[in-house]
Amino acid sequence: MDASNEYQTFLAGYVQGIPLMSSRILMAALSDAEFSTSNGSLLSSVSSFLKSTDKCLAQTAATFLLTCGGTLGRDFLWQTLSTQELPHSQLVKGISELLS
Amino acid sequence: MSLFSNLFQRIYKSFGKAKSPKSSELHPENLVRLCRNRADFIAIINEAINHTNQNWDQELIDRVIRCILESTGSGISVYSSDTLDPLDRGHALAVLAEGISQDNFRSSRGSKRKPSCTRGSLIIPTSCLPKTTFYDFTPENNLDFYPANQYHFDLTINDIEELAAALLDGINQRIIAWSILGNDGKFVGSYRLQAAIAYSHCLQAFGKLNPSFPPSNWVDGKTITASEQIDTLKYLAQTFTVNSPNLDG
Repeated sequence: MDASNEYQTFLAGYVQGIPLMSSRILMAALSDAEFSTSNGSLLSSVSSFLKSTDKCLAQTAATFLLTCGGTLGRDFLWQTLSTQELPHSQLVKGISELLS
Repeated sequence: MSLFSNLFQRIYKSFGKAKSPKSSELHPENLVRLCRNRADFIAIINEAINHTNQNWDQELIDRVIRCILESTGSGISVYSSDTLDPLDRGHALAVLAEGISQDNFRSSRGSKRKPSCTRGSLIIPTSCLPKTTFYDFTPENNLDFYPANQYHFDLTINDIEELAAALLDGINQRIIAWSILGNDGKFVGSYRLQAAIAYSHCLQAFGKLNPSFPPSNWVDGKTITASEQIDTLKYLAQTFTVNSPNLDG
């Protein structure tokens, strides 16, 4: 599943503007559909959800980065993990181990 | 020699059709349960294996009920598997039986035909099930993939929260196995590999699999004919990538 770069940049802003529950459902659906992206804006936007106190949202963001973002998504995940205190860092690491 | 071999194979199959269920069919070692929401499934597995407390959060129990048990009290489909290995034929037949009825797997979708999909699966030893959960051998309730009929069971769940907690315990203690399936190359467990294992089993059980001439003992499903089942199985297993020209058809 692919989409134009322009649309993916739009999606980066869109996921930030909708309710958190909707963001989680959208990321989960894209991950289940094996959506593929290397769009930096979208991966950066999704990686911001890794900081969420909502453990489902943080894990879904990690799953999206690893299943949809390829090497760049993995880099975003590890950069966030290594530079920031995350409320659910253990679970985010767990997703990384599960999908590696 | 080949004539005798074919004759023996036919006699064996005719006995196979008439036989009563074996003890292993009525009392399976393990039951496979498929989950369609892979991202939610991954989060559940992750939380279960990283859990360190005695009790499970009600919120996680509720998610297991919603995502894995489909919020239902009874009649959910599971399939028997001899081992906890996701490469067991029982697991592969379960994966195919659960997904084969999807419209986007049909040849009528043309270039939009999907070669794969995403799933999570649990392989649950029957010894893990609480006393309030029962399983019944129900081949007639398997809808659209005939080779999996003899592997199909229905669960009757009298206490769904107790079952959800038992599943989380089993995952946490590594007694219950799981797999995460997707496209080739993305995950260790690929959907195509499961289809290839199922195809290999069917080849041995039914002989040559030609969608235009399905084996006479391969029965149509509720919505998918035997011919379509075989065509879809071959497509998902991508047999065309390994066939030599004289095996086409």
